[in-house]
Amino acid sequence: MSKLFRGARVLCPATGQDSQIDVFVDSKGCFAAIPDDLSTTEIVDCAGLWLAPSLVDLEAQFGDPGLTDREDFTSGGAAAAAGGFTTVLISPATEPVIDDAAILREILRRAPQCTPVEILVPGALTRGLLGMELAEMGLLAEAGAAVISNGGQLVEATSTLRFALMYARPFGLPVFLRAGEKALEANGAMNEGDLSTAIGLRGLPPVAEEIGVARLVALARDSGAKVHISGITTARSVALIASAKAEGLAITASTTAHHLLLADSAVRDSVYDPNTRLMPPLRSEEDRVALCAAVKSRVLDAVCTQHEPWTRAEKELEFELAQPGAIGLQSALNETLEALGGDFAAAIQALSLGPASILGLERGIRDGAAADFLLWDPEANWAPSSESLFSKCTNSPVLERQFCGQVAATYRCGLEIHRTSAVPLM
Amino acid sequence: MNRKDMLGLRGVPRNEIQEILDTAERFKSIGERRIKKVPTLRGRTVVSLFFENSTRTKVSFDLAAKRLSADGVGISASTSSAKKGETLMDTARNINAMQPDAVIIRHSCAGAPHMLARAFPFSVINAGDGINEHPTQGLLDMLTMRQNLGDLEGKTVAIVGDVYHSRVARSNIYGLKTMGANVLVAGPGTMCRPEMSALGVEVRHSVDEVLEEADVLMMLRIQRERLSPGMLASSREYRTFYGLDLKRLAKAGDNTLIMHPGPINRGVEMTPDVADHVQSVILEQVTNGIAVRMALLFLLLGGDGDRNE
Repeated sequence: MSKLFRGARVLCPATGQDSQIDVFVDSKGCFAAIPDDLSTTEIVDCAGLWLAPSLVDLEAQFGDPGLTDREDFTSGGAAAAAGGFTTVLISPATEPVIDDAAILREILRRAPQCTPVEILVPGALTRGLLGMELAEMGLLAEAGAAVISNGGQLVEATSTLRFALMYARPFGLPVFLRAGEKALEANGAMNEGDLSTAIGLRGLPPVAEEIGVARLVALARDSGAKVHISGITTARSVALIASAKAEGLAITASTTAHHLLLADSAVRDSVYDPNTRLMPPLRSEEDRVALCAAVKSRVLDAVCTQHEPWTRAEKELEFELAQPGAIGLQSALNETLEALGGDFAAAIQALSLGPASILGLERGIRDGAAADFLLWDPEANWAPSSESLFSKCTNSPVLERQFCGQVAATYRCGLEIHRTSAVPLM
Repeated sequence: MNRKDMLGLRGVPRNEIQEILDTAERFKSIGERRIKKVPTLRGRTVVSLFFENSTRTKVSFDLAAKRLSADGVGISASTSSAKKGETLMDTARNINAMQPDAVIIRHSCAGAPHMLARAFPFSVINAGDGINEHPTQGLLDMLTMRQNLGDLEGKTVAIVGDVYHSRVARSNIYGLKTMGANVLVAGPGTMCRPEMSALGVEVRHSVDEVLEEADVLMMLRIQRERLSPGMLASSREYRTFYGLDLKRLAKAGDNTLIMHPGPINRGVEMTPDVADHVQSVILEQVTNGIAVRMALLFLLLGGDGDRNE
């Protein structure tokens, strides 16, 4: 059945639109011109709501298969839809690791049975993500891998990484890598700087990431592979990315919503709350400000959630013993929006169009395009909590933080896949 | 003083430090009596959880509790559930079920005492958390300085050695800055980093650069167990640039105090003749430790009163 979304403020960075117009979705689930005859069309009253392209995430751990006490496609999908996401690229760090075409095919078959959210699946760069032997990237690509990724694990030996990128290039998929230097990351529990010194936590120096970025830039240049560097968190890393892009290298980069909103002061202010322990760690306020500027100027192409659920048993520990990582799907838009000073179009660019373009996907409110969009209630107030979160885990650094504005509903191909019940629609 | 816990000296106001030191001063005489016991904390329960090795701190806390007539029991890592894989929170839940009034904790992770303080009604005293703080050591050091030098305002304290990995240094720095003292730090580049100036201290590069100005020379222990490989070339080099010997001591003032939190690596941080020198107050520090810990237990547990009554 076709639907007419009436009265919303329509914001689409792809078309530059920002006006109150009615949006028609035809029975095939695509945006279309409003027909004269609306007798068979469902009218959805969207007065007071904003309508924008739905979000795309480049980095979420769903733990499915193998680690489903943390998350599975059903719970992760529900969290994603509630956060305005219709497409999620999962991490290959499942059990078993997605380093074999048969595993990848099985996930592609099963995920749609569990969630209406589009699940994209990466193929591993190295077997077991161990950074030693190449995974069968060609077979993984053929089986439907959306990208090649090492799942946040570093490839320590530069010779191995160099060959991996040379090997990956002909298959044409972007290679997702985190920038870091293992020996420098050892024992680091938070950003190394004034604050780690003050509160007595061992530091993870920004230079570990910056060396990693420089290494990846050099290898991208050398191999000609398309490289996506995830988890950019320092101002100097941003400068390195900017210069690589100016040179014309096929590099894209992203940061996370948590790093846009929070600085390392969150570790101090929360008195060593393990939910503020992330990898890469929350950085200095100067870095945070530089990241926000880089997202606005699009030096950073995308903002990811880096959704990483950990059970209470894995997080209710001393800060230095707790696993790093936090969930983020449901709060990413709020966090990004708040960090960018309420610039909704910039937030949508960073969480929707930017990541979509890295994956070669289309996003936008234009006739003929798939009707993947979200409705945003700018007046709603909510806080992430064990009641409001759909994830199986609640390890969020913004737990109980009051946010203004909330996803009211999420649509994929014109079908409603989430609705926040507190918000009256229709 | 109206606080439930003593987690660190960062953020503790001057009047509270003053109150703790004044109280400790009064308690000190108890240790000089033949009957070293007062009934002040009779019936109160103090549990010590030492997840890291300790001799003097543990004995000092135990004696402090006993001299106040509190009932004290303690476990140390080798006999605890930590080895069996029980989490700190679960251990603490069990201890809490036994209704202690105070828990003294030493742990290798910064913030571990804070975690307990947030979750449980008992008072928590930090007896050292990772490389973060060791507030009772900071307090006993300040008490020792005050007894020998008078008011700490305007005094200059030089902390020499592995400041980065030292919870003793952090607690001293926070306490001393609050009390109006100047703090200089000196040590190898890997252990005394420029960002330490954010703590309000002056970073110097060798012990020779602090000798003349310092009213106190606090020589830190080289904690081999906390060092990553490659942070120090050799003990010989350390001794050459940062060790205190009689020749160097001669350049300092005759009233300059020599302190060390112990245990001393004799021949590394200082030569034996310096450790035993007339200007050394290392053993006074140990005596004062009991008084400071008695004062804290007394102030946190509120003497005869019941916090909940």
